[in-house]
Amino acid sequence: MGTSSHGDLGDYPGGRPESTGSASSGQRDAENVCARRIEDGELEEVERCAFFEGHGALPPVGTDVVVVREQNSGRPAAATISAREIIGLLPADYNYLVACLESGYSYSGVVTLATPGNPAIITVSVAPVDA
Amino acid sequence: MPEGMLGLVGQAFVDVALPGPTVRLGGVVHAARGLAAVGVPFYCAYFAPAYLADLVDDYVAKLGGTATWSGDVVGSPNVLLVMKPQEAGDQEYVPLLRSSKQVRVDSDTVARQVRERGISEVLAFPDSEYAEPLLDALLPLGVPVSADGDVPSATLRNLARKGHRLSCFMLSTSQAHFSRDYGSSSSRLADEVVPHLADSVLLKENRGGSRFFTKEGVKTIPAQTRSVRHSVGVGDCFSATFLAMRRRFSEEAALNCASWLAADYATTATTDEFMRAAHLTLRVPPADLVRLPGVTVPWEERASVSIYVAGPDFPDVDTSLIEEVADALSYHNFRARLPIRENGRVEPEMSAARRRALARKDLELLGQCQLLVAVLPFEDPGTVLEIGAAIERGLPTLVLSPHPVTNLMLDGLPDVVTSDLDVLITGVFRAVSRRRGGGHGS
Repeated sequence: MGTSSHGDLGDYPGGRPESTGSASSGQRDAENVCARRIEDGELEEVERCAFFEGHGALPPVGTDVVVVREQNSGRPAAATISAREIIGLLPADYNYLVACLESGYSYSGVVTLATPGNPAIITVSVAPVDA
Repeated sequence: MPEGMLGLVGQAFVDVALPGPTVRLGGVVHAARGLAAVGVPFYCAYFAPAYLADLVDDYVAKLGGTATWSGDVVGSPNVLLVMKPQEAGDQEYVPLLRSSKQVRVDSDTVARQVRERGISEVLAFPDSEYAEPLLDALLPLGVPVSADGDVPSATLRNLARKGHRLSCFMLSTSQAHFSRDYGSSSSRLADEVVPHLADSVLLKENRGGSRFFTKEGVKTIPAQTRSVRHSVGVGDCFSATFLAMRRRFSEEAALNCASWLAADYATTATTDEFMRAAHLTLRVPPADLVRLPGVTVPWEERASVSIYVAGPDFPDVDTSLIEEVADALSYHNFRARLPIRENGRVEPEMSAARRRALARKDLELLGQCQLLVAVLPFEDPGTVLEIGAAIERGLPTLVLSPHPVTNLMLDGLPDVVTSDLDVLITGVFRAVSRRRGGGHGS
């Protein structure tokens, strides 16, 4: 339908050219968002999650983590690889990970920051695991 | 629930988003994209200037639907300038040549098209000028007819006198007729419309979620807030995908799914990107979408949220950014409190005691507020001090700075520090939603 940015039918900035819009087109591309890394994503609800409740402390920096779905809310969460204890929940901006996990993606990474306080601050960096 | 083809009836526009410009087909085409994404067969009976007919027909065909040019628009090119695509505040839509525009619709012809094509359900997007004859022709067809647009309450009552009522009446809090006909009151809207004028009402509340009213009660659906690329046609996409998903799932699941799809529409720049995002969303079991939290801030609750707008609001300073923030907050029905405008400004000859008293009044005003939004066109010490006071009091604190913030305390302590008004407004909604403990559907 035209891709010029000067008056022809086209796209919002940063997008790819407007084309057929088939829902089935590019299934391989459909998971672009799922291929993203998350750098220093800050976790929520840390004090109410299983790890802090069980250990009374934050996981140390460098702790290996995976992304799972929290059982009650279904939210994406970071959990320890060993015991699958949830460290914290990923913010709503990362809700798309639910769809990615349903599509077969998995994510692993590490704790990059763990600062006690009110509230505690924990960040994780995760990336998709190669199949 | 109906199966088969869903009919969309409404105008096709050319949306021109500024700056850029970027140009997309809009109007009823927004709903068409939504239906294409969820795989529901659809038909568009659209009204447009003649020059658009081939473009719309081709585009809808590429989406997998069928379209018929069913009404003419004369006196206007049906071009909509969107001055602010993201709807952080008023988007400032400018319809070109609106005053000379005429939409020429033969409602009986549209009804015949719907009947002959075996359409099982209709979603109409009428203007007030032709809403009544159009709906009067569609409702006797015996298929569910929903309307998203300016349908005056008098029209709904006239239709009800003939024994007709809408399946779902859909509107947004940002549309003029919500204020004009219902005094911006959701309770009045629900009380007057359900069940005698419509089986249900879908009230779309922008970043604060949505509510679905039936005679059984109300369902509250959270909004999925993400980085918004544009807000043009997002509501239309929501309306259409809700009706489509309601065919497969419960109303609550369909509403939550539509909320996610609407967020996909707002965060993507092209139809292809939207299709990919929607494809991903549709992988998630609807029951899971219902559980996932989002942002819920009902329209009328926002008026009781006082937001202290801190900034260098001085006569010798360009205050346009402060005013833009205050206007955006008011647009979303929050109560913006500007201390200098409420309490007064310090004057050079003011005594020390009066200056102290004025400073205390500003802090008292801060104490009456639930959030602080600071506008920093430059690092004004008074504003920075107010930020500190708000943080110390435990208030959600958000900062809008067009320039990079490098100071550790200023960057590290507020909840949000951004140069983007859209991000700021989203942050306000999230903060208010968290304070009310909301976010889950009910």
